Amino acid sequence: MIFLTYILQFFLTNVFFAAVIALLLNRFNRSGKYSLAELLIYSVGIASAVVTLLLYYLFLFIPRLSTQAYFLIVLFCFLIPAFFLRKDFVLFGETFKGIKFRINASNESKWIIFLFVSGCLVFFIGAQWIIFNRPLIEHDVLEYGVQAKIFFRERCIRYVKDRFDVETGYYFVGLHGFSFMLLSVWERLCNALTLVDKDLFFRGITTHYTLMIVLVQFYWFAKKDLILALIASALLFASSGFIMTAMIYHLDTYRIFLLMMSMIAMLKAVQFNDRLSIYLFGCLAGLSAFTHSLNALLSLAETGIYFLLVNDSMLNRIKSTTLILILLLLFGGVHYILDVFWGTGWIFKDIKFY
Amino acid sequence: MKFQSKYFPFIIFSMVYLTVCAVIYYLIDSPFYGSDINLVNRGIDSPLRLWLNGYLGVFFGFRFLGTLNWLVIPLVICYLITEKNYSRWVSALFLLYAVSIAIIISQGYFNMRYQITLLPLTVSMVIYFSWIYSERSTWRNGKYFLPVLFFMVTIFNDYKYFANPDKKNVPVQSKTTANTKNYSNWLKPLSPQLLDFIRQMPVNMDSKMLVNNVPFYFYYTDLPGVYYWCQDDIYYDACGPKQLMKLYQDKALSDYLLKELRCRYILTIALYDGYSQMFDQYVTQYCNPVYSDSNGYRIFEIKN
Repeated sequence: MIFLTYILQFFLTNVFFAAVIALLLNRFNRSGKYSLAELLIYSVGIASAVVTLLLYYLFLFIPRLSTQAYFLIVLFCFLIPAFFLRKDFVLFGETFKGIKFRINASNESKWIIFLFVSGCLVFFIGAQWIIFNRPLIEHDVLEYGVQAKIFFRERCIRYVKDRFDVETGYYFVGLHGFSFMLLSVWERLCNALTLVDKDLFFRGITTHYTLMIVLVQFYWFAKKDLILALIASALLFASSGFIMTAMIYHLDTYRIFLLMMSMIAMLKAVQFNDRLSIYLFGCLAGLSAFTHSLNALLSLAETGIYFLLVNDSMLNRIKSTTLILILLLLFGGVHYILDVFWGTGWIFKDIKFY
Repeated sequence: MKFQSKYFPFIIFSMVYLTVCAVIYYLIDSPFYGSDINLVNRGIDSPLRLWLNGYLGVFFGFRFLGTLNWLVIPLVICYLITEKNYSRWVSALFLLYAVSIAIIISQGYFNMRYQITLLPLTVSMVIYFSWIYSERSTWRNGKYFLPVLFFMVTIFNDYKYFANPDKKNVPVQSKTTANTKNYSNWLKPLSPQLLDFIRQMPVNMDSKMLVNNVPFYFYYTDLPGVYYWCQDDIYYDACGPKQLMKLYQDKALSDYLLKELRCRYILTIALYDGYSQMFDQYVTQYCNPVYSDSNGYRIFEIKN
């Protein structure tokens, strides 16, 4: 039952929810600047972040419902658009046919894709072995995990100066957005339905997003040269820091992936200034900010650079930048405003940096 | 002459790259002499290391980030000089990169996890720019030369810091302690016996556990505790952080723990030995050990 719950949760979040998000984004893709394959890759990464955002607002505005109620509300948030987009699902078939055609175009590309996919599969299988055999033991991830346990128990998010849990005596010192913790809450909500007590999904976040970072890098380099794409992924995988980040349970790969996504969307928005890129940039900057304070600062920097460099009239720049800022806040940035005025004070409180 | 023109740029590039790497290795691997264990562990215990592993760690923090990152500086400068017209997104990328580096240096120089934020982007930029320069060369296979060189140095770097059995688990020396551990100790597993032991202990609201910065206690059990961190001598309650051992010592500390905080037990790990002499002395003199295991986890009972 443990394995089944993990597989179901993984596919529900990273496949079904991701497919719905990709099709939804595709509806806004009127200028055709994004292929469905590109949107699907991005969506596989952002689906979990969107789930955490939904949970954040639910716990903030409709607290203390039953665990089943929260699960069903999140599920319906994806089932309803899936119903309206049901005819679009055939587009994935056409996209996969197109990818297959490109791979079969030459013998060399077949080999490169084979090597890349084999490498990813080996990593994925190794990662699953680790996830099943190594519990959470790292200090930081456990601190997030404990706060997630408290959020799940209370099914409520409050902004308080000191995040102290009277029942256990635990004090959460973190100042970052709640996205990562809410991933654990999402797992606990799913587990509550099957009466499973495990944290495999939460453990798997690190390796899942490691693969997503490599996949996005490969996708972009493959546009230039497939061999270059393979070399780039191999070199990234070989870097000591990347190996460490991939092997130790933490939120780093999750936040780095979302930051990379927001950067790509910002660069596309600067280059094309099309509606989808602007929407995507705002949403991704917010989701990225919601994971970590550093990402929040970088998201603001991205917005400033967009305003400076986009090729448009001053009035239109102000309009689009305002839209981006609103989306940034709605998709997670609002947490920091609430935390500054009604919570811990965020980075404005006195912090010892180590 | 033809030979010279074909291979010359690659040989010069490789020599410069390897020389700079060798110099940086020499500088960052010099003996530790810091007095703060945390700074020693983070590799920022001397002014030089503070610059190389700290402020400029995004480029030169070889231990955690590899040897490729600093190459982004000459490659981007070269690109800016040689390219007359570049797209708007390229300007945005360079500006964003510069601003991000500035933010990370100012807010996260002390933490390799923050420095790692731009690693995928930096490595990608290095590979991309070195590839496009190689493509301009008359040497047909030149574009494969640099990736092979990068790969070899990267593997050497990984071996040097993570796989070399002679260097692994060698205690880091510092002024205050002789047994500071490195980060690899975080990976030591949690034994099921430890959790079983804790769960069967008579811990309740009147006999709580003082938990010395090992949050697994709160994650894997629902038992009450007081969260404490010995290095800063801070425990937390509903009003926030408070000092403990600087205000109470010896028997008075035991009385305060037992009567005011209602703590009977202390949970800690050998990894933190040397972080606070007050804490180390207190548990040795005023507590009885009730559990210890090979991974360094230890539980003490406070003497009455």
